[in-house]
Amino acid sequence: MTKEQSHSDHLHAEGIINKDELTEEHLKAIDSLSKEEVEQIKKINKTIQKTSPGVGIML
Amino acid sequence: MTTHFERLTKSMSVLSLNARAVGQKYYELSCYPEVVKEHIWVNQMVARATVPLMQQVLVKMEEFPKDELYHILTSYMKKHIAEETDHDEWYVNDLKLLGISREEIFSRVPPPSVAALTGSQYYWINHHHPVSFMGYLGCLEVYHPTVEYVEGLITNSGLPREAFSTVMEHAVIDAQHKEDIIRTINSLPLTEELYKSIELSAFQTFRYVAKVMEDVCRAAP
Repeated sequence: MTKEQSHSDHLHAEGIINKDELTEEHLKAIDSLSKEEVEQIKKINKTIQKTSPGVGIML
Repeated sequence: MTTHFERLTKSMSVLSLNARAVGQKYYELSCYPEVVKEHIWVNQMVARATVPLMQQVLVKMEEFPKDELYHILTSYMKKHIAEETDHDEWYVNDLKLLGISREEIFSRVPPPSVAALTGSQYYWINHHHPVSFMGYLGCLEVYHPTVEYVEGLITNSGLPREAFSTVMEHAVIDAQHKEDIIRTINSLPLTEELYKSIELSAFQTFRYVAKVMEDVCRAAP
């Protein structure tokens, strides 16, 4: 039986992150995301405008 | 040598993806005035917690007067408290122009996403180390709106320009706040463990900001 891929494995395979550049804590943080959040990252990575300003909440 | 902020930026490029995507979705929905009103309202809810959070950093740092971070962190917070004071009241004035009374603003139960965003920082400050809060500030001060973006919100929503005075002010002043937070983070003598707490606090901030903005988008008809 094949072991299920972690979120970070999955995002690495999709070319969205480079696991070699991330710390263990970083990878744990990504793995703690929900499946929906990971799907959203995959989807938006293809479409997001890299210059999109702000995140909506400001101080 | 890589600075703390350069390292954080590299991490945040991935971790900010969801928040930036929801921000983009919000912009697309800004043709609905109720969505933009909701955005200004939740910013008021977040802003009312900003100064108390920074004051809590000062309170906790008094437990570590000999900490190497003490002077840098407390000096930054004192300066930034002065800069952030009354921003929540500015939003109240803007919301009044949109027909929302002070009573309505403060009697509304905030969305849990807002409580999660701001409330989680109390945990980092009180139960780990106050320096973690720099991750929250790093996200929200660095990824600020631009004047062009706010002009777009005004045009798209058709709401009165005057109601955007606080949002517009942030588009202008946050450019300076951004430089201050970057300089401060870079000047902190951080252990690897404390750096990671800032990074995780930043990660959590982006995650909750995305949830707050998803809630804002739900105001669309």
